[in-house]
Amino acid sequence: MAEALKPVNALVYSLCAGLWNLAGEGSKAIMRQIGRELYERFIKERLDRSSLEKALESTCRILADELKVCGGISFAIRGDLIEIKVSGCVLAEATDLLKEKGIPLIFCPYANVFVAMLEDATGSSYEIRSIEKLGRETLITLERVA
Amino acid sequence: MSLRGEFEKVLKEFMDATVGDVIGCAVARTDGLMVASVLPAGVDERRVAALGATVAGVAGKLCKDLDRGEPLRTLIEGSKGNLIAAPIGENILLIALTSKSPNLGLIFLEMERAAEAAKNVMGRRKR
Repeated sequence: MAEALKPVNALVYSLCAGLWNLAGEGSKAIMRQIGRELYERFIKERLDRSSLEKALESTCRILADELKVCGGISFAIRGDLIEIKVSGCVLAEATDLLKEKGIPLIFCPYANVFVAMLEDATGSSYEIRSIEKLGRETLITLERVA
Repeated sequence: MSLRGEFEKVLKEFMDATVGDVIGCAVARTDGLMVASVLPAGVDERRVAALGATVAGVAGKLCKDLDRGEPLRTLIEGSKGNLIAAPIGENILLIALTSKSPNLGLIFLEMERAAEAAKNVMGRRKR
């Protein structure tokens, strides 16, 4: 299976597996920082801050249409919960392989980018509540922390 | 009082009890999210939470892989002071920045007291 991986997936899988094997739970904090770096480099300047919905919409548009890291992203706001559905992720193979190796799905860059964006746009803290693979889609649930 | 406010009270009491040996401290989650902090001016609380959680995570992995049991605390000695990170509950860390030559015995003792006080705060919130 490893031979069939696209190069970017092979690199991401190796980086994430290596990080998990050395840093364990500390990888979560590292991924939070990686999400912040991605957000500040590629999204922050062009974020529409006029409302929470607009901020989420503009982040989805930049990720899917400009950076082309997935086929599409949609979101739903349910009180303190934000649900993000990602389809056609370019890192799907790496994610599947990490999951197969028993490595938790904490390395999802979308989840960590959205956490960084939400914290910057709203001033509140957010945590990743769950990341579920649903066939070819990934459902990310984020929660505002009191 | 807010949860953050309650944790800040615990942190201030911890600092007072160490009579100047702890110059800053924080409660953070193991995913690097800051919960509350009392830090010197100019210290970025998000960096403290992220780096403290990373160090504690690596310590946990070391203890596990080398069969050393659960990590009780991580101490990093620097030429200008120390950093101590200790787990104080499920997914929660107490991080302390110390002066150059602190009384570590007193700090460890007071960290345990602060951990108990922090657990009480979390317990009251869950009820």
